[in-house]
Amino acid sequence: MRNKKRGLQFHIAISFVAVIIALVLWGLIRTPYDPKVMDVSLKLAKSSADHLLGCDQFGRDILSRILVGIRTTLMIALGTNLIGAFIGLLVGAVTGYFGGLADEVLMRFNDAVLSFPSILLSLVIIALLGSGTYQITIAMGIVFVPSYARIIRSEFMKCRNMDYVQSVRLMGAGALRIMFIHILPNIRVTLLTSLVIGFNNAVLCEAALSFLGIGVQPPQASLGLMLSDAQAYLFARPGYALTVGFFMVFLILSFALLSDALREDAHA
Amino acid sequence: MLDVIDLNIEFHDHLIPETVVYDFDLHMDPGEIVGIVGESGSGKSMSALAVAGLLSRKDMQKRGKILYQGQDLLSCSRRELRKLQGSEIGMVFQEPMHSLNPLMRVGAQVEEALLIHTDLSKEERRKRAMDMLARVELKDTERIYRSYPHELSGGQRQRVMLASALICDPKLLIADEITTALDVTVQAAILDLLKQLHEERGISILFISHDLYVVKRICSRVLVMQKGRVVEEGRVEEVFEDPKTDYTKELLASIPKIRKLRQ
Repeated sequence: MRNKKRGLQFHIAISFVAVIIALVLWGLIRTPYDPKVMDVSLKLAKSSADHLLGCDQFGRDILSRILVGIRTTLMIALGTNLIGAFIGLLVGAVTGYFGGLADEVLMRFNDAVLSFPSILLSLVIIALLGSGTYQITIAMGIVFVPSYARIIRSEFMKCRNMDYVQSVRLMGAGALRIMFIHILPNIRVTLLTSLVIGFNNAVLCEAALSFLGIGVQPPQASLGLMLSDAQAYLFARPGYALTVGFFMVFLILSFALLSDALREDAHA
Repeated sequence: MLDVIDLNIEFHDHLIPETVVYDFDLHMDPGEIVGIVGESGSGKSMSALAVAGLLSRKDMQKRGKILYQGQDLLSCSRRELRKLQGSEIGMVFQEPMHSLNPLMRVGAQVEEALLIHTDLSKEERRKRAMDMLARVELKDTERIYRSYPHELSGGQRQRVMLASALICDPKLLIADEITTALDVTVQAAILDLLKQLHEERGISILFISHDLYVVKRICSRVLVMQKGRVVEEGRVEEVFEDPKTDYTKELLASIPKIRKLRQ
């Protein structure tokens, strides 16, 4: 009975993610309208047969912008997590496996970074790099490193004294070989779930930064940026904000479900 | 070939340093099977790990000498130690459940030492591994080579561990409680196998166990340890027939005897 339920959640999560991928592909192949072309006559137009989700304050087709916006948001989230997970993995592996001085130095540095609120830290880095899609990807990537490092460190600490690690050590395997060929595959569940959770955090973080006006710059589209635009017309056209909000919630919900399902499957 | 002289092991990971092994001495000749017995916490595994060079270099202090063919394992460089590990010294652990990497195929794990210490080609490594799996009397080696550890039984896994420890023809095998987690019939089979390998290849075995019966069956000499000290040492027959210390007598008295139970 429980097994069946677990399977169901997994299937729901997978189909949600499939819908998102389909939307991204749709946006890649062709959008109904050019997401950057303005038309004053269509300012804040309601949804119609021509413009399914209506138009924004510059008369741009909302559906087209959402299709492109989801892609931007996803790419930023992906890039952020790749940077965060890669550097976090290196830091976590070294500190967790070796311990000692390296651990102390890197982890205290880690704690220092972690003690800043993440938005504030991203703001500082963006102030240094300038705003834009690549810049916020890098900034958020750096902000994400410490949490990955902590998680991966604890996993490596757990594994380093396992018998199988001892026995390959006794076969004369070097530290790098033990760390990345023997231990890494064994922590994949933790790594995978934290990647998916990190993905969600990145989506939210991008939305927050774009909302503040320092993330993705107009006329590009991202969900956060569109939500920020929609806010000004909340009373005139509530549908605008609701539509964008719906897609954002859908995106996060899908990945949250996926991470849950993955974790439960691994412990089944 | 192996001489351990005045080995002291002291932990420094708490406020008060704690000594777990005092003045441990051991001499092993080539081709000898020496047993170390003692209760839990008597320091037998610690001594074995030290001989294998597996104790961390941080948080603990080791004094004395561990001479393997004249080379001191405690003072040699990491690189030299790594060269010895695997090719000269092999080790098998207690828990066959945990001593194989759950996510690697058995074949790859048996080949691991070859991959590190030799530059044989893939096919040659595979051939050596298959031969070795056959040598430890595993049937259907083709299937076992391709399977994951969870698909094997405890006894099979322990044989795989033996195969991977012996693949580079080490001259010294350290067996740390290798039969403890197995049931009695499998235990007997593994012991027979060990003895057979010993006779075929002339390897020396340092056999650690808390099971006196097992030690009696396989070893020629035995050390009895208690609270980090060696309390008695001698040929197996001497120690078992004529124990010198009270502790050894108590240990021997603790072996259950079938005749007594019947009465």
